[in-house]
Amino acid sequence: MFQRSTSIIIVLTVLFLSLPFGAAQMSGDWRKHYGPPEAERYIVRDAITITVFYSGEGRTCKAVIEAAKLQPPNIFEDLLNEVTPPSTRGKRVRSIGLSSSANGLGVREYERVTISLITTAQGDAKGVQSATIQWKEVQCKSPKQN
Amino acid sequence: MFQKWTITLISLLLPFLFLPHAFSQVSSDWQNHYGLPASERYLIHDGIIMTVFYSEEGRTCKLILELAKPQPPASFNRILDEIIPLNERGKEIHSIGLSTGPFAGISSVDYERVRIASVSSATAVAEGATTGNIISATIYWKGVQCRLSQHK
Repeated sequence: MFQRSTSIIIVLTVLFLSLPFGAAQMSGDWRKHYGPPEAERYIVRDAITITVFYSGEGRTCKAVIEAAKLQPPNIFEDLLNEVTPPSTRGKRVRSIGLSSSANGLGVREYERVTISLITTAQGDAKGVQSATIQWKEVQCKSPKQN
Repeated sequence: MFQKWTITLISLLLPFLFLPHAFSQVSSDWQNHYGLPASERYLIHDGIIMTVFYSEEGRTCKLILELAKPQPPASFNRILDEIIPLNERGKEIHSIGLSTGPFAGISSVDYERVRIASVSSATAVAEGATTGNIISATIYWKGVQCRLSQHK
């Protein structure tokens, strides 16, 4: 008898606790309704995120790595190697660099991907703010991203 | 014999056809590496972009709707009802609005479980209209903490 009432109390408590969140959908609910997303954002490190954009077939066409605060170049190089290992990029085609006193843009073109890095200065600190990888042969679902 | 050759040829050709894409990841590859996404972006009907933000447990905490084509409140409410039906919002607590012109302004409606804020403008307003068109809206789920809040 005691066991039965304990179970009822537990079930009622769980139901009550989950009540305020009952209306908040999960990712699967949105997918069921609207199909696969055109982009997803992941937290890769503390204060660093990656936004990935997809093609109609669900392949990654573009990835943007952004840091909330400036990062030393080696942190971004490690991340780029993690996201697109050098062996998957194909041969290096060309590199272009543009810089002013505070900001810089570096573009590295490979056979299969193009990687661009944006460096900037905040006060005395200089570092990398974001990097974009574009897969050349994969067309993004959203034309704005191509 | 002919069949065997055909199968061999197809199996040799298939990897070649997929080669250019073989190095581009799919969603599950990212999830295996970095866990559940903190946000997702969907292209829903009529060119509307819906960005959904999640909590640590994967529940929706915030949703932003960006309308490529500004919509009058009546048709916008139909989209809103599809995303968050009235019965899921809880009781309406209060609403406020601030206008910056005859058609432009912001408004916020507070329900028990969610808060819906919208921005309207004079863009593409039809002749004789008495209200502005909605250009964007944000839904906040009360009591659900976003993972990305510290990154914004």
